Amino acid sequence: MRITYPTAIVLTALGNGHRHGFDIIDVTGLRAGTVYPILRRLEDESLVRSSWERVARARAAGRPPRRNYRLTAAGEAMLRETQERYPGVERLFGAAADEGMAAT
Amino acid sequence: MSGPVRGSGEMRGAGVGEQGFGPGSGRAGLTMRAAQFAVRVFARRVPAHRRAEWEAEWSSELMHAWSEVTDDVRPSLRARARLLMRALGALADVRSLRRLHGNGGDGGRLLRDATRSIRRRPGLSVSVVFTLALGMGSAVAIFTVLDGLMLRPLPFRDAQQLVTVSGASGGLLLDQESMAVWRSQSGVFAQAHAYAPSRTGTLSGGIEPTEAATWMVEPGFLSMLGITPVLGRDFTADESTPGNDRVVLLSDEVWRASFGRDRAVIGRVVQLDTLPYTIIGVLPATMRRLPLGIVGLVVPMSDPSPYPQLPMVARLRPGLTVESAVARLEATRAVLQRERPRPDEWQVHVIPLARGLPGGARNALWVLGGAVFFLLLIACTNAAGLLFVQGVARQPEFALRAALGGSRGVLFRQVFAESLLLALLAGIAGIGLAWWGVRGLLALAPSVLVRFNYTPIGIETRVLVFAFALTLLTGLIFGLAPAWRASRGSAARAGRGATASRSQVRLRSAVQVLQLAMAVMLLAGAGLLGRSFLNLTSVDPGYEPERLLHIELARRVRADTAATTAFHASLEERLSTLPGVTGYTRSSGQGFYVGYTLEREDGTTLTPASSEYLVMATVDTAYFRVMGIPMLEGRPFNASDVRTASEAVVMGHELAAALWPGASAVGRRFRVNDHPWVTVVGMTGSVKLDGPHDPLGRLFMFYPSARVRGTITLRTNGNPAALAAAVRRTVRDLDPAQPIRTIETGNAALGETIAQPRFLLVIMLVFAAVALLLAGIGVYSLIAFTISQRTRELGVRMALGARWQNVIPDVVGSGMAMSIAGSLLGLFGALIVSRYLRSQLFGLSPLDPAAYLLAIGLLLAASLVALLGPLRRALGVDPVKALRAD
Repeated sequence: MRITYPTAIVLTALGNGHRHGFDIIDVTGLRAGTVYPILRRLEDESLVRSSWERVARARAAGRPPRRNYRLTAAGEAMLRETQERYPGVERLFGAAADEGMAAT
Repeated sequence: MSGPVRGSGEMRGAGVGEQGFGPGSGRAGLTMRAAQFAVRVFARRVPAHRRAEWEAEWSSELMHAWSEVTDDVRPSLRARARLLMRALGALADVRSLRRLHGNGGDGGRLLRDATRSIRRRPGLSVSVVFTLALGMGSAVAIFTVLDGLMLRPLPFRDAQQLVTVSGASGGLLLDQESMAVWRSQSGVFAQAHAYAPSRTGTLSGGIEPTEAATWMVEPGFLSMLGITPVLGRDFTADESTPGNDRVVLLSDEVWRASFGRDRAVIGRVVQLDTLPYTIIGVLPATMRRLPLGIVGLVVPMSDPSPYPQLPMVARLRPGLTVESAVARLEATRAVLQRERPRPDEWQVHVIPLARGLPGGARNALWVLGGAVFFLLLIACTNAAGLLFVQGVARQPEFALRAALGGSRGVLFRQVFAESLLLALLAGIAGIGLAWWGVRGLLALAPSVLVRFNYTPIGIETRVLVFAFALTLLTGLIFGLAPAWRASRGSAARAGRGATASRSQVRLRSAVQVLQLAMAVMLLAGAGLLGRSFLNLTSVDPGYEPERLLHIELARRVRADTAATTAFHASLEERLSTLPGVTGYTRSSGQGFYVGYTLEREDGTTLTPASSEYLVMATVDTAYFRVMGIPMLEGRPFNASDVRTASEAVVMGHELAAALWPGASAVGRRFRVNDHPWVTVVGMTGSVKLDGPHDPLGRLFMFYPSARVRGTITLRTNGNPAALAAAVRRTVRDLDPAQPIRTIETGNAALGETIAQPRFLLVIMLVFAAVALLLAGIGVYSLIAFTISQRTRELGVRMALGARWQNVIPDVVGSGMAMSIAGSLLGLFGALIVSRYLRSQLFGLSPLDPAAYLLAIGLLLAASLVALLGPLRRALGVDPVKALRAD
């Protein structure tokens, strides 16, 4: 698949351990309308795998279960390839994360 | 692909909405409710198979975000706006999902792609659908008729337990004494009831007088068959006592035709012949016929029965087979014969209740079944051939897509979906065609076929299932091959042109040869039937059917014989004086002797073979003149013959030659069995009153009579059909209650005798023509394809100076080689199969060479025509273009 700049950012966020759609939005500063389509595409290409949070855990936190996204092995490989191609992403990330909430 | 599926599986365990986290739950404020509402609205646009999961994800994320901001403080306006913005972002998510999965998910996308692909190639798609629809439509139509006439079980409850019990082998009747004995065998029969086969009754009384086949059955007969009236009731046991038996059940057909399906007919009193009967019920439409004929009316049989012998139907005890029933009855029979001997011996025969479809008709139907099977095969191979060519042409496309990352599975599914869609379209068109075909077949079918369906024939669920199974199977078979090949397309091929491998072309050619062979078989069959039909129509009937009009009046019971005689006298007078009528005669229905002995004056006898019936007709003195039957010797009947009643006969020359070989028959005397002696006064040629087909009509003779009942025949000096209306008017004027059974011209009556061979021939001709057309298309598409594959080679050869004389044999040669191989194979097949046609052929051997030569000639001619197109293209190949083509 074509790796765009936003895709590289989403991949990096996932690689950094952000698992929920809204968390990725928060941390990357990208819009929901950008992040979710990228997640769908990554999942369709089997670069990302999704699962649901355990009910018991969600209940303990007093909210409905959330959907988790995780990189697959192919996704990890793609992430490494991306980091070589866009070495700046990792750096930029920290800055974006700080302003995340403001950008959405 | 696997992610969402797995996700949704775990989702079910999560059960978001059940736990009170839904949009309506306590802490959600107006902002949250608006956001949730937006998500719910958007969710409607999400492909159905992902909708629930999608909505759950968005809902839980929004809840989470909301709980973050409302944890301890009242959320700011900005936080609320941000939440709403995120909810609106779901719309982009919906769009991306729809792009990935199509409107209705995977299936929807496949269907859309397949539709698009089919519409891109309208010519090919139409040909495939047309070809398959044609094959399927005819197969379903013929299957429907076969099913209705032969295959479907009789429409009675547990029909396999029903048997006919008779006293003599091959017979149907039981005398009263035997019947009493056998029906009391309660260890064998659960029920046994006698019936009297149809006689023609005239129904009147407030309705247009009509004739209806009237059956007499013992009360209990219908319930034994499992037939319950749809309206009213069955007979009760006491309705067999004289005085109570004036009750009648109507068939669906009579109810419809005479009473317009009026539900108020129950209790109405009608006239059956001269007696009043009360209508007590209406039979179901599925009860169209009993094993001995069509049912119009059913009346109870009075006890004791007025008939000395009757047929009996019985239901075997549950679990008893026909064989064990026969064994038990045989034991009883042996005991009876010892203890109560009968001069003619006790006899009992039990046979399963059968349809009674005549062997000739059954045979004709099987021939049709075989023919339509070949047609279907031809259609399927044709469709497969067309798709093969297309598959090869699309190879670069598939290879390119594979190279761009299209997965093999996706390509396979797509091509498969296309084939299936084509087959489904063809199935729908085919069912339409079949519906129309069944109507056509029944309209064309000779009465012998139409009479034998027990239930009304129509396309029904079973046949529809058959058609759809056929459709899917066809789609599967011809869809798999190109799909499999397409899915193997390699990136290396993407840049190259489309070429078929040698083995692929060889397979395609083999299929083509098979198709040609089957076409030859159908053509040969049609040729044989065609020549046989010509033989039939060229037979001299022995009389002049042109300008004759036959009128058959239905039976009408009048007060006394004098009234009937008076009616016929006035009718003769009025009909004879109608303008255009030049002759009037009456003749009886024919009777015949089987297994008889002829005794000559000198005491010598002649016993013809048991298959040689002696057919008789009773005629008036005008008969030979009006019918146009010339006397080869002697004279026709005159008034004095009529007065001496039955002493004079006129016979055909075959009977005369059998009795007195080499001598004149006129003036000689003989008798049949121990009947009175008769004198031969005249001799005719062969008269085929029952048509050229009639095997019974070889030996025949006429008796004179002044008061013949039966068919009235008029000779006219113009078009006889034009007189029909005047005849009807005359009959009505004379007696409004007299029903007319039929009025038909001499030619139509003669035509009816050859209706069955004509029916078979017409269908075979249509099949053969379609087969020829399809085979031609097959040859065309294959040769056109091989030439397109060789464009480059041909171009090079032309450029190098080859002339058309060198190229033509090459192109034509491969096509004709295929046609010749197909012809030979077909010839071989036809020679094997044609013996099943023997019973349908008249004056012709199933190995008649002319039919086979004609078939092969037609096929080769069609192949040549099919080759012309591709040949012209081959000759028009521009070397420069050809070399650039790839």
